[in-house]
Parts: sequence; C-alpha cells; structure tokens
Amino acid sequence: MTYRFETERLILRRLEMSDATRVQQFAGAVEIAANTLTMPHPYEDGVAQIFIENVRERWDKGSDFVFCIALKSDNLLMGVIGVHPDMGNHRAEIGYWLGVPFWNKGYVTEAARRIVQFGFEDLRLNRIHAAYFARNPASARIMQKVGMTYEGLMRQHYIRFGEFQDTGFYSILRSEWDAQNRTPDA
Amino acid sequence: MILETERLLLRPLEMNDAPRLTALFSQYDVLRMIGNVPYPYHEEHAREFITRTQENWATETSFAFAIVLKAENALIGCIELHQVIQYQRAELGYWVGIPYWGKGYMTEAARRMLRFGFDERKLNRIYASHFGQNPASGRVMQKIGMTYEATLRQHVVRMEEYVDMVYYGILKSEWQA
Repeated sequence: MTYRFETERLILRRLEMSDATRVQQFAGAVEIAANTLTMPHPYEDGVAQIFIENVRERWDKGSDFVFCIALKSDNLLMGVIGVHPDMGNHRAEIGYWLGVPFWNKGYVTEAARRIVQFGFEDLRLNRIHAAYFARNPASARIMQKVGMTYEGLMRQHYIRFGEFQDTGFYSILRSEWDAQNRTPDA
Repeated sequence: MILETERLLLRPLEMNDAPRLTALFSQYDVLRMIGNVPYPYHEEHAREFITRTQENWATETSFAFAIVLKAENALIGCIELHQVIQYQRAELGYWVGIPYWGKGYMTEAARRMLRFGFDERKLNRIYASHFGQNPASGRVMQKIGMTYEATLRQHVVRMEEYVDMVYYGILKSEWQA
C-alpha cells in the first residue's frame, strides 16, 4: 500500500534506505534509548539498515506500518511513528520517537493525530492505544493531546537499563474519535 | 512439583486429566471469561493444552497446575503462572469449574501461587487480568493482596463482543508470605 500523509508541517511517509544515517544519528541518543523498550544502545553501524529493511518488509505484508516523520520543507527524517495492529481484536498500538533536536515543537502530536485517523479510517480499528514509561511524562502529554484517555499504570512492568519501569497506558476508542471529529452540521 | 494448601493440591497436569478438564472447562460460563481459547471446547483441545503445559514446564516459560480438591481427589480447575524472566515478572491465570465456585478455592490456590512465584521463582512482580464482566475474578485478585492497576477498554474481542481487560498486580516488596 502507498500510504503517505501530509499535515500542516509534516510528511509521514514510508522509510527509505537513504534514511539510515539519520536513523542511527537520532535513535542513538541516550534520551531516546532510555524512553523506549527495545531501542539498541549503543546504536551500532548497520543496525539502521536492518531496521529499515524489516520495517519495509512488514509494511509490504501489512503486518504493521512504521512511518518516517519528516518536515515538508526538507523531507528529511526527524523520527518515526508506527502503528502495530492486532486485527483479531480490531486494535493497534502506536509507538514513536523523535530526534532530540526536534523536541518541543509539537511534531509528534501533529503526526500522532494523523496516524490515529489512519488507524480508524484506513485500518478500520476499534481501539488505538499507547504505552509510556512513567519517568517520561512528555510522551503521555502527546497521548492526551491526541484525545486519548488514561487507563492506568502497570507497576514495575518492564526493566530498562537495569531499572524497573512503571508503564502507563492511554487509549482512544473509535466511538470517542468519531465524537471528537464530528463537524457541527454533519 | 506438588504444592499443598489446607484443602488443595496443586500438581502439573497429566494427559489423563483431559476428560475431566474438558467437562469442567467447556462450560460456556467458564469459557466466556477466558481469553484466547477455542469455543466450543473439545477433548482434543484439552490434550493440546496439556501437551503445551508440559513443554512450558520443560522450558520454564510457564508453570501450569491442576487444582485438586483433596477431599474428592478430583481436579476442579487450573492455575498457571506465565513468567517473563527478562522482566522478572509473571502473569497469573486461573479458572475453577462451576460446581466449585463460591468456596474460596481459587483464592486459596492463587495465594499459594504467589508464594511459588516470589519465593521459588524469585519474581519481582505478579499480575493478573480479568474481563470487565467478571468481577468475581477481580475479587480473587483483591483477596490475595493485589492492587488495581489499569482497565484497558474494549481491549479484546471475545464471543464477538468488545470486552474490557482489568489488571491487578502485586510486587515482591508488598507481598507478605
């Protein structure tokens, strides 16, 4: 499928092998590694290429969709946002990271809004959820801004860099998304 | 491995448990509260399940026990601790046959499983989940000292309906042997 979306400032598109250098550069930051569950750290040479290959293969199979987040002005990768469906349960988890130089500009919120729309409109999901480590409330604020509801905290659910991580959950249901996006006259 | 409580024995499942397990587990009111199992449920499903529990014991991924009522020397349900070593945690799952509901057997078995998980398996966290329409299962979690943690809304499709998943957990630091 050729999913490619534009928002006010962003392009959300398929990852290309030419994005590899920037994936390694930004995903390699310790700030990113600490707030994600499985990001390799240090981020060795060659890992970005394997990541992009896997992502493209899964996209072709339709098993999940990991998008590059780029500015319209230069089309260069700043981060990624992925939708991981469980079609049997009509739901998906979204996950994201953004390179440190691009933080605090609302880019992930802008991207996540479009990805939630993709999940409900194109994938016909019933539920979209996201998880974050409690020590990273900035990620939770993105979930709030896209209209998700807090569902709870699983205490010490994961271990990252040798420390137990409380893990919080947010979600939005199709019925809630429909209500939020209904135009007054529709 | 046999664990004992006041009224119960917990022991690994054996292939000759299949007919009894099927008879109790295949009841609609039991099955509809459990995720990810076939419905209708036949004896071949029970045999596959028992084989899988034996494999999981061998690889130490999951520890399933038959719950045996000592007074009747009969299987009345199952309880399973599925561990994720990497995160020092496990998920507890259980069911008991309808004739044995309301007698505290589940709570008695689950308490013993916490001890197994924390003392013998050296876990840091044990959690459990139940469907929103099955608060009785949540009461077992409360009685064994677990704390409510989350409700994942409409998280699964079961019997063609969206159902909420309610999560409880207990940490080793909170647990009283």
